[in-house]
Amino acid sequence: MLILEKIKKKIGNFEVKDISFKVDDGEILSLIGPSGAGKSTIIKIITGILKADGKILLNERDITKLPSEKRNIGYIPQSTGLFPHLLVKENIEFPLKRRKFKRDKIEEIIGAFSDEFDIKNLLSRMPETLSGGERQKVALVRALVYKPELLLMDEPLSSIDAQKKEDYIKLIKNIRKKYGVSIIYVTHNFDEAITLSEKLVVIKNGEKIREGAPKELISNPGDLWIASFVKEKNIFKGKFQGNLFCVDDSEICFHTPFSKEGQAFLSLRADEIIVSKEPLDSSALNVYKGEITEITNMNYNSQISVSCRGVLFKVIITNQSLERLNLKTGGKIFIHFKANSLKKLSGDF
Amino acid sequence: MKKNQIFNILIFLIGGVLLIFIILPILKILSNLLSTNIFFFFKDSELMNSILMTIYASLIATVFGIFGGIPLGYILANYDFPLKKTVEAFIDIPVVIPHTAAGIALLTVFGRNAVLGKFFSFFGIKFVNEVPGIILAMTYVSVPFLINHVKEGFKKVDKELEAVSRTLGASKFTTFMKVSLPLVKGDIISGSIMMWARGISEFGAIVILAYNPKVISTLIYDRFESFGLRSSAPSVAFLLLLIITVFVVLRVITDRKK
Repeated sequence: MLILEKIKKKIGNFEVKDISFKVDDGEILSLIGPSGAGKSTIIKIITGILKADGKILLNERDITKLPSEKRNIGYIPQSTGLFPHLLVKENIEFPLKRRKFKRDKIEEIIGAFSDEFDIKNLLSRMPETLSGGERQKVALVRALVYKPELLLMDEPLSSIDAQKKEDYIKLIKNIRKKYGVSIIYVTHNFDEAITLSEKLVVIKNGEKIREGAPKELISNPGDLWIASFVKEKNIFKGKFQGNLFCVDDSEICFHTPFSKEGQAFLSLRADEIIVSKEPLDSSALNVYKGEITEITNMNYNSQISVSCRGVLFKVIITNQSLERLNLKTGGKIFIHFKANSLKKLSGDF
Repeated sequence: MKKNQIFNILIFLIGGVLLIFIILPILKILSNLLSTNIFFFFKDSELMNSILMTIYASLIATVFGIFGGIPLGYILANYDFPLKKTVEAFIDIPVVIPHTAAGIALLTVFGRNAVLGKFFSFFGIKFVNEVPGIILAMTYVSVPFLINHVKEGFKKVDKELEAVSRTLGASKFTTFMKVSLPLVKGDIISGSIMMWARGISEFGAIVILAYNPKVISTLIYDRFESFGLRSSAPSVAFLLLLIITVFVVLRVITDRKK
């Protein structure tokens, strides 16, 4: 288990402020945030490359003041960090030699790992001759052979083509299962983050702004950047007038549960909007008539784009509902949503 | 299209003139070898001793340069400290000042009555008109080439690799020896060749600190002063041929290793 307590670090004008979070045994935590948010700085602080104020505990061991080489952490940077002047085999031997393993033990470990990860044919090659996927695999093996207590992966899939990404994600899941190692995974990609991790920590401007399960962040992003990261389909910019929220450049004002003034962003989940051919007599305060501009079929659901007096709503309904209501592009429908379905988003204007 | 052609002609013309300016004196002096029996030079013991001593002294200077230049280049590439720019400027000074001035400056520190001169003479090492003086002068004026090469090499090393090495269990020293240093091997070699070659060609600082024993540059100067151009030109041609050969061989070897 890794515990970060009130980590602070100032680098020039940039500051990491009071970052605290916990990674449980065998948990995969994704560290997400916009570019320059401080994710890599946090990773470097955990590895010991950067010294910081605060406390870092790894399996109840205080590693805050320990040099990198004594922390027993595996780190795979975006570039994989394979040493270009060493063969793949020499790269994998590197951490074992530092730990004074005997030659026959090194051979045994490399043999077992190269069988498991299917890299035997790569051992005598130079890193520059490997593909992006092969390099990642080798870097992963090198970071695992010495049984680290924590694995830090900084955007490992950025140099891998789309087809191989799925295999790599499976590989990471298997590693966690087999070796029980906790993983911190830095990514810009929402799909990777929710497929892999049990927990997301959102970093913005050097601060932790959210922490929670992917589902929690999806249902209530709370922040403009998180909303766009979790691919929130309906984000509205507008102005509060009491508990009404008037969407910019439109004639529509939503009823909201909030009462405030000034500019704001609101989000609305696409699956919380109800559509009907006729207006419904329901508790939903927001009812608008609109025109279907696009229908996109997904696996079991369909996404309908509905234009209502200058505002475009994205609505997710099941394919059965689509069929039952006989909805077609250009058709008129009513959309309904509760005031409580609107969520405030913090963020820059 | 026409403008492009004019541009091409212009740059080739200007570049070509400069190239001819560099090559012409070398070819002219090498042409002296056509009318001379090359084995004659091998019998000129004064010339041969001078050449061997120059090569040897410059080699020792380069070894000293590597020994000190690697740590200094590493520091300059990896650390920020107050007055760093001033330190870098000081390192370049021996290259930009007249080398006779550099020789005089060395004399004030390593001369017979100077502080370090006296200190080293206590151990039997003298600099004025001695081989150590030649090595000292060569080191002083040529080591900036090596330091700057090494510094640029270390700057190019991906800091992420050093960070990964540390997380893999290597100490700072092991990371330096096993990761950083092998990655700048090429820069160290090319910097060393530059330093060695610059040491061989040094005259100004050596002539002040150690006119004797004569290195090749002082010998050529001496022969030119005593016997004129016709006497000194063949020696210069032979020296040039020797240096060009060594230089090309070293380049080929190091390029292969890279």
